[in-house]
Amino acid sequence: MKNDYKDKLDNLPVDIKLRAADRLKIHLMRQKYGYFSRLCLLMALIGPGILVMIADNDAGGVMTYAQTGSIFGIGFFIPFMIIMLPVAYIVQEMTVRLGAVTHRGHAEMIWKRYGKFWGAFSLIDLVIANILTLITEFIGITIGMRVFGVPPLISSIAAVLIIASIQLFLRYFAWEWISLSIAAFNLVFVPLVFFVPHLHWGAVARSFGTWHIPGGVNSLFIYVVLANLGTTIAPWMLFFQQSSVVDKGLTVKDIRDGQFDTFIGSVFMVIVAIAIILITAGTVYGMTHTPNLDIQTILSAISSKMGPLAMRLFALGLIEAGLIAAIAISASTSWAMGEAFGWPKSINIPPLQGWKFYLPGVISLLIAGSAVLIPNAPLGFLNLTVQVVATIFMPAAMMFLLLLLNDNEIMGEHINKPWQNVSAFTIVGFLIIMNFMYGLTVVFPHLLG
Amino acid sequence: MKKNNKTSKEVNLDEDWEDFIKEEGLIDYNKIPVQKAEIKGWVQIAFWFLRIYIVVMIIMVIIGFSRIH
Repeated sequence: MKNDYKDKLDNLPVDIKLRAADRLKIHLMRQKYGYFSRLCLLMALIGPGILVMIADNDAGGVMTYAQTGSIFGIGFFIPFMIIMLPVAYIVQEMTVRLGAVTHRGHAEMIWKRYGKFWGAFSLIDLVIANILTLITEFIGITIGMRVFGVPPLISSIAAVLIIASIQLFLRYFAWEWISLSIAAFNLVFVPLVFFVPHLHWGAVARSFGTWHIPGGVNSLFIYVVLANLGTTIAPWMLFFQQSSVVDKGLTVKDIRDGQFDTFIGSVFMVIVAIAIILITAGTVYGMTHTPNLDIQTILSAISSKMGPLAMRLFALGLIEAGLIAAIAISASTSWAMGEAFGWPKSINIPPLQGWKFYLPGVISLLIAGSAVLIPNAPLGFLNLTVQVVATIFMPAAMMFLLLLLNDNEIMGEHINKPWQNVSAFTIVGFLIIMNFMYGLTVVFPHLLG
Repeated sequence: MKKNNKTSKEVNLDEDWEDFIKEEGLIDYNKIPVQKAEIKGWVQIAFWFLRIYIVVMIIMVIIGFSRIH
């Protein structure tokens, strides 16, 4: 980098200066021609999309997919997860455009565009949902670590220290690559599929034709559909990816790469989700009819059918899932608080200078890390409930996203196209219908049997 | 939003540093106010729908929690 540029960069505030250094590299890369240069540019620009989608396969998600495969097998939920690919992509892609065009996070846009009431409403929802979700991440981490003989107290403290250190001491670029490296372990579930005993790929293929629901449509089925939806698209994901796009410094020129990043992330997310459903459908489904299968039972079943190594790899995946999601969720809490209250809001800021920004994320980690150590806490119930709560609040978050993406004043030529609106409104409509159906089954438990 | 017609390839950083900064959004956005949106038409309807949805959902959640024990 030329010394002239260095002098110019030194005149900028520290967080913007570090972002400018990254953007300068992107700018210089863009001036080069050739496939290799283009690939380097793409590699430099991807990150938020893959990260959000892999973090979406969090410990709660792994447990939800595992319970789904255990209770319902492959009949309905394999094709259902394929449908989730465009759903996740359509929703998250909007945050890329919104972030790249406005250079502001989701919390800030809601707060400033629609007023303090809706800003505070969204922020409170997000922070509560994030803390609850973080607890499920710590449940996953401690359960997974117990398989390796590590007591919950040690694993919880270690997880808090690791996640807080990653957030506090790394600048954005390093933070993103460390996070992506941890996220790569999410793929550990995929090779396990090939060791599932008696897995008939013909049956998997036939499920796309039949969409068979064992036991028919009942309240448990709706609960599990909602839980799967809740783990595929969650409010924190909207806030996280938009803030991440802004902190990374993506601009309108980078939207196409951001879209590719999101698509690749969606593909990884669905592959891993299907892998988990196939593993548990092949090892646990049919063993018991109880809907209250806990993850320990599932791990034992995997161990007895596929061997202890498979069970350890599954546990490793669970730990990774909890870790990467906790990194992303605590960052989303910090970003959202910073955006709402106008604090400095970048992972590029040194900890002492940006303590206000880092504090909410660290506090949420401490709450979750402590909550998981409370004896006899109803952790299994909490996990599926978190997914359902997230789904209930999702239509509100989606509505703000759609309002902003249809706001010509701020989006200009990057406003939603009609097909994007039709797709997004269909997703919101489906969410609302499923939420009402679930609500009805709660109020009238015998409605669907 | 101001539209910059220069592509990145045309920007010479020695001469156009300010343009690079603006094009890349490397400014303190906290200092630039965002105008509050006008709530009217279908947006107003959407907000009313959201209010009703939230109230119904809260009632259902309360009923749900009260039946747990």
